[in-house]
Amino acid sequence: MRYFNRLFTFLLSFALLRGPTPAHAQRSDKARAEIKTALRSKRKIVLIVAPSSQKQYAQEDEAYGDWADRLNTFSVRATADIKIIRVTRAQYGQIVVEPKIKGDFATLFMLDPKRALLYDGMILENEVYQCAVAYLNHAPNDKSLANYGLRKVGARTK
Amino acid sequence: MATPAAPKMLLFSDLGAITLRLGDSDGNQRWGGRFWPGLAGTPVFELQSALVAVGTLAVTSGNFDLETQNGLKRFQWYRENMVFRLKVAPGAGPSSGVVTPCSAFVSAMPGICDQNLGADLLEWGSGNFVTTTPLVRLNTKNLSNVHLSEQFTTLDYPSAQPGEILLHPDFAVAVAGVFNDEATRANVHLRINQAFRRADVPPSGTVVAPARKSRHLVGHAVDLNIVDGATINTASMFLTKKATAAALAFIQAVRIQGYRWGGDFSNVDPVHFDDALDPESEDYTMTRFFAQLCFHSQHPMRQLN
Repeated sequence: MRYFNRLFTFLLSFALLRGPTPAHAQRSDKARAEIKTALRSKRKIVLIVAPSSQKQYAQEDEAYGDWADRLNTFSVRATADIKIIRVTRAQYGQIVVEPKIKGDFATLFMLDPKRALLYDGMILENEVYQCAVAYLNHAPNDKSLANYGLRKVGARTK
Repeated sequence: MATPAAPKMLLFSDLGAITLRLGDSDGNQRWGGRFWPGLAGTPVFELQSALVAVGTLAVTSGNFDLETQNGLKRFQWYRENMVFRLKVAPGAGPSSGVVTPCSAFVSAMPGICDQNLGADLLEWGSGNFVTTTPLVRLNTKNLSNVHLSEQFTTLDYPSAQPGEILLHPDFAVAVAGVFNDEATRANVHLRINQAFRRADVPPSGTVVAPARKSRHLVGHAVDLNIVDGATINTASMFLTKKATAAALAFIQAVRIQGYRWGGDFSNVDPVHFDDALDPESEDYTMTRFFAQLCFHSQHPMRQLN
């Protein structure tokens, strides 16, 4: 049993030290390229941070269900000047220097390469997207932003 | 040379002691779990046709397979738990149907069709009755402290009215009763953002997979903001412990009466309330089947209030 524990610890350490896999790095590169292209063409970016495998959430988790419903509603209705890009937390870390995020779920609404709005967590209300879209359209309501947990932040990508 | 006698016919309307079950097959002359070389007929096909007609099975084959068993179990669950059905004129769509009451019927064995259940199915067929949705329409305009948010999307169903939400009757009664009463007592208003949710997603434009076992899919949940005077208690306010005292009082009051608040979940969801229907239960599976399928087929919804 002790042998297996040591082996497991060794393999885990190896996996952590080894860093991102080539496929993982490739996805990050693709997302980075998409961001740069979108910013160059003056499109607004909504960067969705979520785990790649949602099996553990998707089964019966109500928070996941509400988050997915609000996000899909937003994405279906989003106007053509908004580019939605989905990344994992690890990929986010490889692409975005600032702002930092706390967990597996976050949304960064990028107005331009330097200005953004951050929701650090799962968005559970349509109004959050509505407030964020108003910000992206240069018509923010600062009180609403704060009430709905949206924070104006400086943005910096790698 | 004597002409061989014609085989005796086994009719679905006259099964006698034979009970149709998994593995039976008209082609193999296997009925009731054994072979009947002296009998002919298509009772499995007729059973399947009856199940297709009432809306619990999609196709016929003459073979009593697992899907046939599931279709039969759905009808049996419906007969035990629902006391209404939809009468649809021949050739007309379900949206023009009329919901009529019926008495409950308890089958002898789940997944097996005996003479009595066969007779019940035939009675449904001859009267043009089909199974229908368990969901009801709850009009929030008739409630003092429950309203719809501006973001609420009214779903597309026959005779949909402004101010309505769709819920399972058990939970609709709770929203109209406990939730409205406790909101009144706490002097807050409930602003509903979503109730019943369709399981199918738009064909394009979605970013993530929807949840597969949410209580919203069976009408046993609502997402809402608690409005206290001019303050809308948002999810963020709960997460940063800035929710108002009246909002917390309302939550505690409905918690005591057995309802779940998403703020208590491990993945916190402060806008969510439900009645804890077990998503692994037969009730969940069956309710979801009828609620989603009948919504998709545009069945009329009953009015609760």
